[in-house]
Amino acid sequence: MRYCMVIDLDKCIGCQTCAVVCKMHNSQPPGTWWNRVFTQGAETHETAIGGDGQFKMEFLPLSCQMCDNPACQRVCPTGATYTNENGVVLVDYDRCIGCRTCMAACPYGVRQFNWKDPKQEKEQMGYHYGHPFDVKEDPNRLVYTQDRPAGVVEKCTFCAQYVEKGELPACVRACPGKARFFGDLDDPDSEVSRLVRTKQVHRMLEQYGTEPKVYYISSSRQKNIGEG
Amino acid sequence: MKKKYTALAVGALLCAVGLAFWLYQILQGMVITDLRNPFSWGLYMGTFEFFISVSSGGMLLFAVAYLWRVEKLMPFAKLGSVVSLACVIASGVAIMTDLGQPLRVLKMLLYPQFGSPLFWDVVVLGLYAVVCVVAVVIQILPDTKKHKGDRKALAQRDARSRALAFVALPMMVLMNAVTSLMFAVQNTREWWNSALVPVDSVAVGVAAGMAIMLLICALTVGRENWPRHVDEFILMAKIAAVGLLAHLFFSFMEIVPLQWSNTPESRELLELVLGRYGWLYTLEMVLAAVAMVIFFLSLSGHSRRVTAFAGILTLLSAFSHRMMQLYPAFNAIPMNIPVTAGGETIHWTFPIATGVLEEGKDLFVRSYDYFPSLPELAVNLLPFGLVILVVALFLVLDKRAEAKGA
Repeated sequence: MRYCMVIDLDKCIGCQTCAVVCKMHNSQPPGTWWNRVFTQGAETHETAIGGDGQFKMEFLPLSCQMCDNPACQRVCPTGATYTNENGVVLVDYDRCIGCRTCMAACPYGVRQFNWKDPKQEKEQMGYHYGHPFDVKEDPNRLVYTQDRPAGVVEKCTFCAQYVEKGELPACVRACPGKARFFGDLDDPDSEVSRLVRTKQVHRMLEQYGTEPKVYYISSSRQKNIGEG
Repeated sequence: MKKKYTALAVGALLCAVGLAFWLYQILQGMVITDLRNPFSWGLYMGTFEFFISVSSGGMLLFAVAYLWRVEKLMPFAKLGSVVSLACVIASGVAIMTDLGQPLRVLKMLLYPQFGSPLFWDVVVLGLYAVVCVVAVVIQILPDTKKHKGDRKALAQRDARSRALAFVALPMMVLMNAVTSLMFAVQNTREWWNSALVPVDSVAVGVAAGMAIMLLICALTVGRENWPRHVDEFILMAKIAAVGLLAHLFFSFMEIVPLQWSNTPESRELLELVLGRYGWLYTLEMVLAAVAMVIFFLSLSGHSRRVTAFAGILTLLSAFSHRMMQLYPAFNAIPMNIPVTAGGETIHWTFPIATGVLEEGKDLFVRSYDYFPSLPELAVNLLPFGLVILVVALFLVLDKRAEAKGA
């Protein structure tokens, strides 16, 4: 089994719901964002780009690309970053030594370091959210805990706490435009496999050979807003 | 002798301040540094690499003296081994201060990942430290009470040193090369991903290593003894000059293809190297060039002050080089995609969350102007203090042993 995500850029409305639910369900401390959405080419989110009466505004959500050939995993000196049997790239928070080599290696800039103690930080800000129970994978790898230790790296887990129970990741469930799809890429009958086969899809920064398992259905809006 | 005790006190003070702030960092988290998600390695990593370079000199001197039987260099082999050991300890401490979870460092041995360049580095660094310790032991053994004045012990020292030199030289090269592989293998960072990076690291190691040996000699040999060793210092200066020349050549060879390829990525990188951080790059190159000229012209050998000056220039250049490895690499963010609008294509960088919510500062950034914070600078005194402390301690004890022997 290889879990994969497909994001339809035509359907993304840039509302940031996925980013916010991701933050809340995964108990991310202030300043940490596993999932981000920005307007492509724009200095400020939700501002159009272009000129001379030709403008466009397209959004790009970005989180861990769950690579089949993850640069982060290859450089990790302790094996804290690993790929599980479902093809999900995870961080064992008990094993990470906080060297941040994975952050330098990841081309997507999605890895987030805990510069402060997340628990203290959330308490100071009055934040109370997130799945409350630890998730451990065999053999005893801590892949989700509400309060990660300070000084370790964290990132998207495809919502390990929900997927292990057969539920969908929070961002997929919450997307109001139904732009996100999740499933098994090895199953030819899954919706994600069908979308990857039948739609025009692309993956981010393929030139680095990372083989991401997040596919983007390319925008069909070839023309700029304002073009005839 | 008084100077050496002053150095001991300074070293101890720097260590105490560094340790106190490191403890503060462990308690408060690495938020006390100016490091953030988009710029996740800085002063500590630069210092780690700097001491890797600097530690090469002593072992190189040791190897040159015994492999090629350069007898006039042999009296400096003992000091060389101690300096190398001190620097390799300093590099280890510097990288420890950079870890978010320093107490978990043993996990690298419990769960070794043989494919990780960081693991290779730990292995090579450990082996190099062992070689340094063995070199120190071999060198000081004839000074011990038991062997004092024993000719057989001196002959044994030379034979053992020669045998060790066969290992020490390749280990020195390997340590520099493997440490830089941590950067060179990362194909997502164009500034690092080059076969020249490990080779250049060896060149910087030769230059900076010899420079610290010359600097320590200039500070400790004394005005009256200086002329007696002038040939040795000229030879050491020439070795440093060759290292600097090689470094300048490799640096030039890095820039030419970048200029030639003229892609959006190479243009962005060039703008960072020669534009935004041009001042640091110029500093690195100019200091190296001036020191190289001084060393090549043998100006340094004849004057303690000029030797010390050129040594300091080389060390500053080496440190700038290490920081220069980081600045352009982290600010050329790989998540940079072409976006077309209004008939024009621009290269747009996807913003990265800094990881810390700070008043008056953007949370999502496309580049990051890293500048070490005061607590970070204070933590970084620790490795420098350790080198001063270990070398000064050795000089004091060596002098005492010498006095007892006389």
